[in-house]
Amino acid sequence: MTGREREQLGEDLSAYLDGELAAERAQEVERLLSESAEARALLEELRGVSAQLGALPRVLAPAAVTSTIVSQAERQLRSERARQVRRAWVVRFAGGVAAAAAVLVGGVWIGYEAGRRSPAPIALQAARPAAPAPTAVDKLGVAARELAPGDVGEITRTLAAPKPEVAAGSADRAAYREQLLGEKERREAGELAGSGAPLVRVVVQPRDDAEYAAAVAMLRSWAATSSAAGLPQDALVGAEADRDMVVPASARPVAQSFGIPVAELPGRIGQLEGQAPQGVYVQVGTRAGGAALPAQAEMQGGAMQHGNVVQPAAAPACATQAKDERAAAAKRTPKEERAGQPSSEKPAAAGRGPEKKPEAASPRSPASRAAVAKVMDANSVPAPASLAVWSHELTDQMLGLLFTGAGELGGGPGGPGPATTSFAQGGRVTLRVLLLPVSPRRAAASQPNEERRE
Amino acid sequence: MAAEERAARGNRGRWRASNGVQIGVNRSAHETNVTDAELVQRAQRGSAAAFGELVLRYQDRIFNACYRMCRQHADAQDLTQTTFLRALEALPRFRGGSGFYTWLFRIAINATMTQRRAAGRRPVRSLDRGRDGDAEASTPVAASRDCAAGPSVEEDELQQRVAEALAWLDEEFRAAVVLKDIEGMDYAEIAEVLEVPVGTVKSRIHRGRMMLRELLHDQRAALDRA
Repeated sequence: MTGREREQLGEDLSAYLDGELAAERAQEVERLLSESAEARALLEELRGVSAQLGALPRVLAPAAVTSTIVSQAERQLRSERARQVRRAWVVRFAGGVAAAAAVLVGGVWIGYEAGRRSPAPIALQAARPAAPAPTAVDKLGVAARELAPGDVGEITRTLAAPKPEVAAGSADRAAYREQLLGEKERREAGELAGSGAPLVRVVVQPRDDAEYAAAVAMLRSWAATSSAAGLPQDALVGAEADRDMVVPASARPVAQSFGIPVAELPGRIGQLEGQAPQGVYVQVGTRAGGAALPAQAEMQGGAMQHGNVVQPAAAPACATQAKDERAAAAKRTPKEERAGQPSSEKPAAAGRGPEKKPEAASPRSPASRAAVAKVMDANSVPAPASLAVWSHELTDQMLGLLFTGAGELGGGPGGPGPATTSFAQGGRVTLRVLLLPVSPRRAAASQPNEERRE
Repeated sequence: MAAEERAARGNRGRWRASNGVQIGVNRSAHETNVTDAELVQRAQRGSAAAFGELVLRYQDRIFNACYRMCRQHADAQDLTQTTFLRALEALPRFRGGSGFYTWLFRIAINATMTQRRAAGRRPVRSLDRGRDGDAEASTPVAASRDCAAGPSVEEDELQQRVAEALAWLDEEFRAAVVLKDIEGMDYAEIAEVLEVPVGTVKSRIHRGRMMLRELLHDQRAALDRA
């Protein structure tokens, strides 16, 4: 027997002792043991060593270990909570500043555009059968629409915030985008995706395990679809649970954090997939106290027609603007209202080509939507055909700079439901699309979300 | 004794922080019936109580393994704390692909290996009992709170010799036999903890036992000569 064979036999004896040998090999070892006294002696010695190790007393952790772990963990949790609170305040402050800046910038730009183009209302443009090529945001939207029915969750598309001097038309969009990306995002992108790819966040804020499972299914579907739709494979997808910021204690989300490339997402979340419910509402809009919720579009069977996904918010998120908004809405004729909102036809986003002619520069005019389109375009995220849908609300609020997704089924005018989370962060604007499952339970159980209203 | 200690720990109640963050260390009947996966899920949702329960559930095993690896109470204490705090940090990224407890042991063993490397891979203990601050000598086996009656003198001596011999093994072999013969893990779990193939685990366990056998023979021979 060679040294290696002897070593192998020894390993097999140890494994036999531990019950880790395959049945066939175990039989061979037993046959050997019956024939070899030396093998039997070695086995007994190994058994003795193993037993002596197993007989060593188990030493329990001193009480000080528990208390130290607990106190340090508390400190860790406390600092994390404080960080979240700080972030919430910074986000709100930044949102306000960004909005104020946007009003100024938008006004200047719209003035420029109004002087350069004829004042055709955006409603007319929307009626054109123009079908621009899908853009990145389009693809994201399509991906969201093609989710399995009943998916729940939020898709957050992070866009760069407008900067006037570049928004007017810089050729070097890549450099501009780089400029707009915050240090944190660049670091995240570098760490998680190894590239400076567009940052895409998926925020999952379901309220229970079933919704979480549905959200995971949505993520899987979305990732697969977005990949097929040609989103950059290295686009960074992340998910975060803003549990302490936006979700009430009574409805803690079952949240997971992801920070992985799109291409890896399906495989990574496969283990978490769950059963999706049977329908989904997609809403983009705001819920203001006493104001009407945005119209809803229901998706059954997974597919939703382009342009039907969302309806613009009829009311602003900001209570101080609610009165003006209601007055403005009252002045609109039903025709205007329809024209200004998405239909089965794809409204061309103004500001994307020479044929687009926004009207006068008013914060709530269609022209201001064009400003949004322009802003998005200037940030390497060309305006999608359905931008008017999304930008409408933004226009009504803050010149289209705060993209908000909100609403709660069954909330209804003045009813309960989570308020909008709208913010600009780190010089960027976040677009949120909230997918809610069609569920009577949700409708009945919708509750005010005080934390979101802050 | 262990039960009393646990009860005493439980009676210490909850640690409360001024901002409301608190980690519960009381064990209710419900909590003891909750699976690791459920506790992990709750902890990932921000439940400090769930994390506290996980600490209670595994701190002794982690401490014991760390102690058997480094053979110093103070080091084992630090390593146990480090393990749980790293686990808390990494918890959001824990996917449940492996069991929580193998994941926790992986953190603990990695921390121990790192600490040992930082310490220059010196032998954990001399075989000369008590000569260099032998932890086993300064912390008698009777300190084992699992043993109400305590071991006999002969048992005590044998355990001392086994512990000393274990301390002489290289870390990789020591970790393998500690996880197998002390923690009772199977080869697949050990492979997960050590992040090596099962074949490597099998080899390390056997070689570790063989080295221990030789060391114990030498000890016995030295005692006979004396």
